[in-house]
Amino acid sequence: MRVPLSWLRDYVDWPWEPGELAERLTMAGVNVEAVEELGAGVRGIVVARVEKVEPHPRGGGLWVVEVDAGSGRTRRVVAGVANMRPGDTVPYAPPGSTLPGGWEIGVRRVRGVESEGMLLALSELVLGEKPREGEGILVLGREAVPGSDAAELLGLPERVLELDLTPNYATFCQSLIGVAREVAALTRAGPAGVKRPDPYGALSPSGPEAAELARVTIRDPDLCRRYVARVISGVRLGPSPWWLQLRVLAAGMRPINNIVDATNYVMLEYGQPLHAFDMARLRGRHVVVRRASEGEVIVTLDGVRRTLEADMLVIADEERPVAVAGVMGGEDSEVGPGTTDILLESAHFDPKSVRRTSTRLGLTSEASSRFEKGADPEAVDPASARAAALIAELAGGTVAPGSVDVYPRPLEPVEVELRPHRVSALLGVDITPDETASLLHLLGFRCRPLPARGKDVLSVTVPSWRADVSAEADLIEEVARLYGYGRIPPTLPRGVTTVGRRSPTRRLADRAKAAMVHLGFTETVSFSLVDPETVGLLSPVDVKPLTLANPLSANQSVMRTGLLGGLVEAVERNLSRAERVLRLFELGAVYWPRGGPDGGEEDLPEERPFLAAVAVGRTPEGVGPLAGWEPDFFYMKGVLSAVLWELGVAGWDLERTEDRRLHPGRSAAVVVEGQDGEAVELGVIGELDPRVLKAYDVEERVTALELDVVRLLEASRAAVRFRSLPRHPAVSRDVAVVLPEEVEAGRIEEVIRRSAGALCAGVRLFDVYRGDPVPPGHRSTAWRVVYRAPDRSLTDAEVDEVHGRVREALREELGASLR
Amino acid sequence: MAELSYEGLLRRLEEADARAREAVARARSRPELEEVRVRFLGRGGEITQVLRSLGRVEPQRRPELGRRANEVREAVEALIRERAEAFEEAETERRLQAERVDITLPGTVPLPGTYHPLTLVQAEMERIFTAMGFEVAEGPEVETDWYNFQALNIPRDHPARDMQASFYFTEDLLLRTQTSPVQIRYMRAHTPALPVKIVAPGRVYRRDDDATHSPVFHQLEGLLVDEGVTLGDLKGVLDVFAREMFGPSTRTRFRPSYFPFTEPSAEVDVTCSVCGGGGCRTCGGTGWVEILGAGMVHPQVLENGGYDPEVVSGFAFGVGIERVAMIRYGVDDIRLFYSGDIRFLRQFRPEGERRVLS
Repeated sequence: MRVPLSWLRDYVDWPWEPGELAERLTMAGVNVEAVEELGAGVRGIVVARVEKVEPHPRGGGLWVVEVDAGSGRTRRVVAGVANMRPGDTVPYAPPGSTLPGGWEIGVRRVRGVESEGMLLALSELVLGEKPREGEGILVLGREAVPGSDAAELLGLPERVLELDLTPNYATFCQSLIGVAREVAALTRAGPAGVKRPDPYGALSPSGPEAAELARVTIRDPDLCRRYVARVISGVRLGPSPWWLQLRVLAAGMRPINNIVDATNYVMLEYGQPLHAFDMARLRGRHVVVRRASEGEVIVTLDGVRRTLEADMLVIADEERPVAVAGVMGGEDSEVGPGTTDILLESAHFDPKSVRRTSTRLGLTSEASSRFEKGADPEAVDPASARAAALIAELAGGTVAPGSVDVYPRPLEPVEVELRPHRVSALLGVDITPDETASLLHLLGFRCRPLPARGKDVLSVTVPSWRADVSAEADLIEEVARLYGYGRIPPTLPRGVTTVGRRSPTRRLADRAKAAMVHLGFTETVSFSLVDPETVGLLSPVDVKPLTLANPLSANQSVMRTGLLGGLVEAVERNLSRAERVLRLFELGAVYWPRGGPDGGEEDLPEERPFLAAVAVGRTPEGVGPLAGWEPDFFYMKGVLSAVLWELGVAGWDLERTEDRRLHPGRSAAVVVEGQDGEAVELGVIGELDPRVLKAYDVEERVTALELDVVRLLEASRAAVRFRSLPRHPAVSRDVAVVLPEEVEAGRIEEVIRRSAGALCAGVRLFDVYRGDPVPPGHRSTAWRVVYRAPDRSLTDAEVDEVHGRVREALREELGASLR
Repeated sequence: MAELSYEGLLRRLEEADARAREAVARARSRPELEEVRVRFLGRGGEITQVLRSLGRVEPQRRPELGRRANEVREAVEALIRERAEAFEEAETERRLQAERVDITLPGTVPLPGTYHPLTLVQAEMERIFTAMGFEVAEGPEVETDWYNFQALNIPRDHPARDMQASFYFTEDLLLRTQTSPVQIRYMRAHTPALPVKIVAPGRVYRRDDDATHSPVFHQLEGLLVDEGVTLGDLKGVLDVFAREMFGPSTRTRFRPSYFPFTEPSAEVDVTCSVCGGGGCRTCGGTGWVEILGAGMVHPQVLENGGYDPEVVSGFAFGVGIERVAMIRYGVDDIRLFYSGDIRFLRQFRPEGERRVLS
């Protein structure tokens, strides 16, 4: 909504500069986004009288116009249109003058004719924009004085408040009178400070009664509370006078013709949408308000053919729909150059119905945006009378006496009970009942005591234009915004002291993030809406992803089922920017379908937090032990160990896994023994399979980690119990084991631990050797075994005996040769 | 054995003393010093020999000479010890000097990574609110129409639905457009317990995409329901939040606004942290930056949550986490947060004393 201030002055006075008015309105909830200055920068534009209009000698749709700009000397300009006639006054921009935005006018030759400046259309003069399609030179009328300042005549520059209204404020502020009521409340003048036009005084009806000329039937009164028709006969279509065009334009609408402009003008004034039908096209001169029949068709004013559904309300004549009620008129019954008689509609439609229809048709309009918020049923008739008088004034014609007013469900004033002590209790500031009542009165609410309902209870009558108010809380908000939020003192809640808890999952997630960051990984956050083409490639599960019915784009149309895809995409983007050393991780939810398709509460999809990481690229060559270091499987195994250490997950192990996403030889599942003794998979680590990476255009080796945070939490619950420190010394023995490469170190360690038995206090691999004298295909692993007894110092003989059993087991069970 | 003359022995002692002092002074290294020690204090050393000969001095003069001989021995021992320590000190000094390194070479332990700025901001918010006793709650991102809209006073065909264009899976299942459904879920799970005092951070989704709107973004919802909660309390709590988040001189401004699930409702501005309220490009010259929406919980919403609005009242608020991060760090394009661009992410190193995650 745009509010030209000179127009607002017609209805209300205020003592503030435009900026302060905007600020005060904003602080009362009527959000002023900007104060615009229309016609700012206009300089030197004068009124000129047209003396002669002739076609340009070379044609081309151009005209040569001679004007008198008051100096007595005739000026000649070239114009693209010729809607003005000799004797008309028009705005003339002589060379040296400027248009909005500081655009300076000069002398130029147009097809061989020198043009001394230009004649202006309204859009050029006010907005500094090119004329709209079909827009002519602005004709100012015969009374304007040539040579006088055109900007001054038009009241430029004009300040316009640009309102950005939330839906409830839009209920009562999408009109000049509505905004005037708010201003009057702010000046504390109240409803008496609003100067409303007298719509009936300007009517001078004659001829047959409206009821003799047209009939109105409301078939569906649930969707149309009231319908008022007035009839104006003998009109002539033409442009509106400049002052009306200027106001409509300043308020953000396009001037079209005198009849449409008059209905728009009154809509802007009252907030009541109006529509003018060409009477001659209404078959039977009968307006029928009814639901559409399924599949019925109408071509709306925007030229689009629309198929209607059975619950959409239409305005029809005896044969067919002529308008989509409250949304848009039909092309068939539109007023046009041949129109002489008009049926003027002013009605009240059900907000939900208008909104549903407009949403379904994908068609919104100034009318629908007002009806869907709830218009004022009491404005229906005054707005009709006002528009009828205005049409008669602008387009000639006579208004038929009376109106056809069908009002099957008259508005009962809404009464709301208000307990003033609730106002203070909710706002946290003492506001007396009298103050509450007087603040409400300023906004047009009427309060009276209701002693029968208890001390201080008020019965509040809601004004007809406030469809947004229906409960006590609504009234408290009105009091609060007019009282001023700024005057409410800040306090701290006084309830019992509570613990600011965070769930175990969140705490674990934070610790996992901290561990990853300290291990050198950088956290990323990626979109959870992903491409259906790639969603499955790096997903830990094979599920059908959740698919949006209305995505913004196809490549963001399904919910991710894993995190690695997003990380690899980030890798690809970074590599393309020559960032080659990447350690990235993300901790976030993945989304897996669950339950039935109808989306009842119990079968919401599963949202499961995961931790995933990728490492790419050697550290840069240079100084230090980590230079030129490849982030391989063992690097990631170290990261895994550190993270699980930090999260208190003990007793985990790696097992070979067949995961199609991972390198078959350099990957593993991370498993831990669950509570029931079953192995639980916490996740996987390993290099990503290069064949999968190809789909992401990544050729580098990518080593990855993926852990299920829910399972991590389950696995991390072991509590720490202190064990006494050892009192007796340990003894260690080394053994070097030569075996084929395929025998994994883990298997050797297992044999050592088992055969060493209870005295074993630790086993550590300290060397791996290949080459002479170890046979090809073999390697030598060297182990240090630590022995200790809790209750005594071990003797060499005891240790030798146990260690002998270890050596024997290695030979017997694994066929190892020992060095 | 023949008796020795007192004077003769004393002279030998004094001469040995003088030679020993000279030799100590002349020694240039630990081994030389050791030689000196052996020569004078060793088993056959000059001073040792005097001591051994004491028995052959006439008995009356023996103690006197003995005292003097011990004095000399101790003095020479002390001299040698002193000198040895000096040698040791000098050697250590030399070794340490030789161990000097080039301190401008890089460290050999790799640098840590960085937290995502949204994590930093969210953690800071959680810290502030948990310190005020708010529990951190959460709820699903894939929501039903009822929780996301209807229970929050936004029926179907309500104009407020235009404020939040949503992504749908089915007629009834959608991506939540706000964290507010957590209010309803939490209240229904905990009624009639009081107080309800939560913040709920998380992802939300709207069908918007430009430099200031992302289809995926994050909010933090707050809710306090108890007996006697006031709009003044809302102002107080958000004042604390604003000062903690943006600095102690930050002020707030509450403008009336509209949300279907709160009444009265407010948009909350804070003084611009760039210009301090004077007006600059960040705040569009107004000195104020809008950071959140808030209000008193609508009675119908309390009822939908299972609480009696005649008995309890509450406030709720919702902060955009990206919004705060953009203000806090001066980020001008919301899409950078999801870019995974290491050049962007590596900028968010720890800031001074601000503690973030454990």
